[in-house]
Amino acid sequence: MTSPTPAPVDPEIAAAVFGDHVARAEASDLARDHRWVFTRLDPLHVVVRVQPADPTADGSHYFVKLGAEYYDQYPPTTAFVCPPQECGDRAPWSPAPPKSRWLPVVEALQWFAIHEAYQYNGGGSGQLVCCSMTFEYYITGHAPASGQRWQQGRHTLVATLTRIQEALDRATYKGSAGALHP
Amino acid sequence: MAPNSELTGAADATHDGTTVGANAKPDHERQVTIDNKDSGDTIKLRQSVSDTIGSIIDAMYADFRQTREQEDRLQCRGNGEDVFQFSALPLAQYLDQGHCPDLHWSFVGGTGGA
Repeated sequence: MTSPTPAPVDPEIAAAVFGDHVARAEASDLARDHRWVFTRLDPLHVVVRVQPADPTADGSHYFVKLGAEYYDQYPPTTAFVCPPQECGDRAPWSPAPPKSRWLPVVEALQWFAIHEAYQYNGGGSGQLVCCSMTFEYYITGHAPASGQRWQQGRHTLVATLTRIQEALDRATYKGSAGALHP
Repeated sequence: MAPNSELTGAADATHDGTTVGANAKPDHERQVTIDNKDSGDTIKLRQSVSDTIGSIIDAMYADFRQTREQEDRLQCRGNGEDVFQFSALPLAQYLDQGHCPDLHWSFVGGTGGA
């Protein structure tokens, strides 16, 4: 199921807001507590290294690419990506393909899921981080309750990262897809 | 922002605060720290032990400039215990009952998913 894709926002405004929010996120207590590491790719894109909190977990870490094409009218575009030199023939920081070591497996929660190959409008297939704090959620036919929707001014990209972090910190996190499907 | 609060996160990464630390408060005051998992802000509220949890929650919403929504969650960061259920308790009683000794809470709004 899909929904119309909204028009991108003015890139200069998006870059200014996104840059401010990235700086605030990077300086936050939450970033320190969760050991998030930020790598700015360009004014509209950042990659954040995340990892499960549980030291008894498999020790994997992941990279989440956030984009500001529709920010902050909508949440950031969001994908788990593979780092440079780990993408094979793909461009650096490309979305991690199905069964990749760079894609976590999280058993579906009521509020979060990772679809390895979602069928998007137009016939394309790609990763979907399915939660109301990602842009892709809003172009795939979801209808969140009012209290679940992204709200400009209330939410920042931290909301996206905390949902991903919470999913990785739960027992429903099963490890890297690459480890489960070698 | 309420006069008895301090906002960190954002551009302030030191978190030292400009006031005395939690352990140095007068006996009748405690510091409540609240992480906002929607925005990344962290606030520190100085509250009297006679204040109710509900009044502290009201101060939190005022600081975050938000109104309460049905799916909001406020939990003790250490043990995940819901804080809203204790709205009627004075802070002193909340602590005496051992609910969240470090008074560090996490706030988050609702999330839709699959």
